[in-house]
Parts: sequence; structure tokens; C-alpha cells
Amino acid sequence: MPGGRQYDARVVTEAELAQAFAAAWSSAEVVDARSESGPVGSGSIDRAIGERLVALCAAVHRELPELDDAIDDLEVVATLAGRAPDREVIAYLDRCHPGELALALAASRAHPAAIARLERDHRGVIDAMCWRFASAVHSAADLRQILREKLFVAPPGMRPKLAEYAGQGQLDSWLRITAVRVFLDLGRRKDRARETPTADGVLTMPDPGDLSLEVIKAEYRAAVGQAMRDAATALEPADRHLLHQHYVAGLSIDQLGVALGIHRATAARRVVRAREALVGETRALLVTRLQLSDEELDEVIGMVLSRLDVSIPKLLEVRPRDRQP
Amino acid sequence: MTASRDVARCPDDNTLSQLVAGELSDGERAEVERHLGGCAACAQLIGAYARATPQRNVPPRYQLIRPLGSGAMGEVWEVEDTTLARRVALKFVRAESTADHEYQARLVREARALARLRHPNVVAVYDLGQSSDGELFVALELIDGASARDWRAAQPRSPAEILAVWRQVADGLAAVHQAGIVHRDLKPDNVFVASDGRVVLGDFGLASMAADGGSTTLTATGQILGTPLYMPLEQLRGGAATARSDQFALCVCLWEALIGARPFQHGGTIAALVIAMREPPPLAARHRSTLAVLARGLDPDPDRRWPDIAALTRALDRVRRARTRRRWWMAGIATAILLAGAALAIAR
Repeated sequence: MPGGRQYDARVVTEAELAQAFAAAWSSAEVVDARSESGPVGSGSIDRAIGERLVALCAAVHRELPELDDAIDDLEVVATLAGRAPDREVIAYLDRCHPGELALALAASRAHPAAIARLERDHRGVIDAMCWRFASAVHSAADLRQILREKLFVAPPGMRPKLAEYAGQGQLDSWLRITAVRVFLDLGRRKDRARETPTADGVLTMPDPGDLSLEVIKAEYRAAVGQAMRDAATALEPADRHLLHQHYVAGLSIDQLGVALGIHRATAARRVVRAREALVGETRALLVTRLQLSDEELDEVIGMVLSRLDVSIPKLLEVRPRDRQP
Repeated sequence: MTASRDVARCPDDNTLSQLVAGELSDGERAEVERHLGGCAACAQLIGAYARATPQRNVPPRYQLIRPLGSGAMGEVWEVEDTTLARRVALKFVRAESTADHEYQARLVREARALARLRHPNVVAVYDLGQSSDGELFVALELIDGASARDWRAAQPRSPAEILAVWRQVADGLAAVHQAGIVHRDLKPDNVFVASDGRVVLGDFGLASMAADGGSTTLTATGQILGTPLYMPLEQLRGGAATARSDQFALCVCLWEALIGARPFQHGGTIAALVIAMREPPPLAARHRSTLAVLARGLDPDPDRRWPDIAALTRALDRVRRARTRRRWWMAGIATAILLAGAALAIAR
């Protein structure tokens, strides 16, 4: 069958695949960025992309032989198109995980064999997350059931959570992240029922007196505290996040590496750099705000450094705000 | 920075899973990290993800599920073997111990010998590997069941049930010895009664071998590794663990399972235990003949114990048969009396 394959008792042609891809692609949000320069022009796409889509679908069917009739090639292709960049589309397609996407889509339509396969292939990560979050309130078995419902059962008028997987990143990683989100929400719901929320839900910034800077001469203390707070505010958001995770949330360097998908050595280097940025900015602010000799300034900065591990958590308290939809 | 300065949309789970998998481009990564710096909810999610993700770098074939326990030598994890889609146990050996080449060689040798050994009462060894942090691990059969200690405590067990369980342990131990392996750390916690009734000898003291030929159970600081309560005198003194010291441990285990107390009393100190071991243990009236068989295995002199596990089990079997014969005799006599009584009654 040239350029097509069997689906649902009919052949999906390369043209149909290409059309499905192009349609989903041009309706994606970033359409304006690619309308001129992209390889798409009025509903038709590059021949090379079409051929790649055919090969990709064939590979998916080979990977999931028992789900041959449950895989909707057009849906897979359209989902991938929804996040395709405006150029280097083939490289993008090569980075995606179409087999895992096809499995997730079939399972999200409650296809029993697809659910069975997904639960078998990914029970390792699912069980690991359930064990990790098990508590006196929810046993691992409870959590497994809760997660299962969330993943596979569609709320009225909606698609189940699993349909949100778009073939980006491994399904294992997506399942882990989603499980953490579901379990954190579960805890939060319980907390809300128990506690009365604060007036505005905003954490207050600390008093300069809280900064454990007693070692610094009283006359400078307020200025140093203010300079450190201003420096923390001026940090690059990414640095601020890094310092927050390490010093406030207590992630180890290894865990930082896991959280950001980077090597532990990179994580360690970046924490050091972010600390230096904080101290450097504090020093720069003090130079302009206090009339101190270099020696005096060095002494003050030395004391700041010695107190930094204690001070950073207080400086970095993040104001929570509602998650954007 | 104020939280409201950076109010880009929260990345969805697809983007976050690409972040943690290191699959984002530099530009995309920078954008996500900028967002994390201003969004407490996303920062919390990513932090919780990192904390919930096990940190050991095992080969991708294995997915860590949960720690099952940890000892002086390393941790045991339940893992999913994704290639064969089955659960196994990974026993890790701490990195300090693996830095020792002699030690590593011994571990590999014993794991290979165990892997060759196929016996229903000996835990199966599937794989031997190394994490990217240099930790050696052994992949073992994961047994769904309880330790013999927990099995015994769960509900009252008849002497016949207890003997049947430890008889299976003895069979496993005999096979292990035949393969030239010494268990070194036999105790009720290392024997598993599976939910299908099979009894499996597990958790070999692979890791309790010392560099100098497996002879030392004392660390440099004089600390005893493992549980001294099941060890014979020669092992407590730092001598080599042998098949005869395993036999001693087996006898302590069965003794304890039968009468609920270990043969040698101690006031909580090794010194008192060592003194108690010099005398033969007192035989309780119940199970006297079984305990007498075990007492020979508990002799302070290894040469005066049973020659091997097979000899011990033969002796135990003889006791059991004798008891059965005695029962038949008693039953026979009772029947004869009854019959005689009946005959008398009829004759009248």
C-alpha cells in the first residue's frame, strides 16, 4: 500500500495524514509566527514531512500490534502537529514519542487493551509514585485507584487526564509529573477543608530583624538587610528559583539535577553562581548606600556570607499565586 | 522580584516532563526556569517531583519502586524489571565496600555460584550489575510473603508446621553448602515463607563478607555485623564462617521457633552470651528428643556438630518417624482396649 496504512478497516493515505497534520498545525496558537516562512502553505505540507508521518505511523503500529485497531493515526498526527515548531519539523517529529502518544490516546478512549498495556508498561513509575506519597490518610493502593480514575475516566463533558499527554517527553516522565500534581492537589484539598485561608494568601516579607544579622554593627544592620532583600528581588528569576529550591525547599544538589533535568555538577555550579550574584548585588548596593571603607565593606560582606545559609530562606520566600490556567 | 512580574502561562505537564527529562532546547528551558522563579505552585510541583524520584542511578532496565529495607551493608529495593515486566529485588552494596577489589571479586564469585544453583528453597539470583555511581547490586527473586519471624508471630503454629518450614530451609541450606557457599547470616528474618507456602532462604550474607576471606564479623571498631544471637562462638570470635556455623544458626532458629526462646540466655551482652554458649542448652520437656538433635548442632566445638545439614535433617526425620510410630502404637493399644471392651460387652 503506497504511502498509506490500514486503520479502522480503511487505508489512511499519506495525503490524509498530511492534511490532518497541516490542519492541526495551522490552528495551533502560534500560527502567526509560521504563516509565511513555515513549510506549510494553504493546507499542504512539505513532501518530506508527509513521508515522515507515514513512516512514523507505521512504526507506531509495529510497536503496538495488539492495538492495531485502536490507534487513530489521524489523531496521533494532529496531536503532534499541535505543538510543532515553525521550522525543523522533522527534527521535532524525531524528538517526539509517537508510540507512547498513540498508546495514551487509545487508553484515554477507554480501550481495554490499551489501558492494560499502559498499566503493564508503566506500572513501575505509577507504583513508585504511589508508594512515595502514601500516608496514613491514603494508602498506596488508594492512591493508585485515585490516579487511575484521574488518568482513565473522563469527567462529564471532558476527556480524561491522559488525553493531555501530547507525545512530548517520555510518557514515564509525564506520568510522574502528573501523579505528583494529582497527589499534591489531593493534599491541598484536605488542607483547605481544615484551615481558614489567610486574608490575602500572600506571605509577608521578613523584618530586617529576622535576618540573623546581629553580628553586624547595629548602625548598618537595617541597610544590610534591605540591600540583601533588594538584591534577592533583583536576581534573575531562574537563579531565584534555584536558590529557593536549594535553601528554602531543601532540595539537595542531586535532587536539583533531577528537578531541572541537568547533571548534578551543572546544578552545583549554578547554585554557586546564583549565590555569587546575590552577594555581588548586595555589595554593589551597599557601596552606594553606605559610606564605608573597602575594609569595612569587606568585613560586612564577610559577615553576610557567614550568615547566608541562614538568611537565604527568609529572603526568598515566594509569594504564592494562583496557577494560571 | 515580585511574583507578578513574570506571569507567563504555567507550563503544562508535557513541558514539565520535557524539562525533567532534559529534552527542552536552551531557549525553552530558560523560559520555563524564568517562570519557576515567579510561580510558587510550579516551583512546589517540581520540588515535590524531585523529592519523589528515587536518586539511585540504576540501568534503565530497572525502575525503582520502593525501599524494602536497609542494613549495614546497603539497601534493598523493590524494582520493576521493565525488560521482562516483572518485579525483582535489587540489593545494593555500599560504595565504600565495593572500592575493595578483593571484596568485589568475592561478591561476583558468590553471586555466580548462587545463580547457577537452582533450588526451590533458595532465592533466585537474576542479575549482577553496577549503578553509575559505582554501587554493585544483585537482582534477586522478589518473594511475596513474610519473614519466618513474622510468619511465626502472625498466629499460633503447630510443631509440625514449624518443623515443615525449617525442614525446607535445611534443604535449601544443604544445596547452598553443596555449591560451596556459606550463608553467613541465617536468621528468621532472612527466611521467607511465600504466600504459596514455599519457604525460601534469602538475603545471603554476600555483603557481610570481609576482604580478608570472609572471616571477620567484627569491624575495625569491634562492632559485630549482623545478628550475633544466631552466631556460633567461632564466628563471634572473628573466625571464618563455615557450613558448620550455618548449621549452628539453623539450630538456634528452629529451637527458637519451637519453644519460643533461644537456647542460650544472655543479659543483653555478648560477653554473657559467650559464657552461656559454653554449656549445653537445657532441654525443655516438650520436644525433648528434637531439642537433643538440635543441641548437637549447637556444640561450641564445630567438629562435634553434625557432619553436615543432611545428617542433621536425617536425625530430625528419625525423631519425627519415632514419634509417629509411638502415636500409632498408642492408637493401636487404645483400639485394642476398646475392641476388647466391646468384645467383653458382647460376650455378656
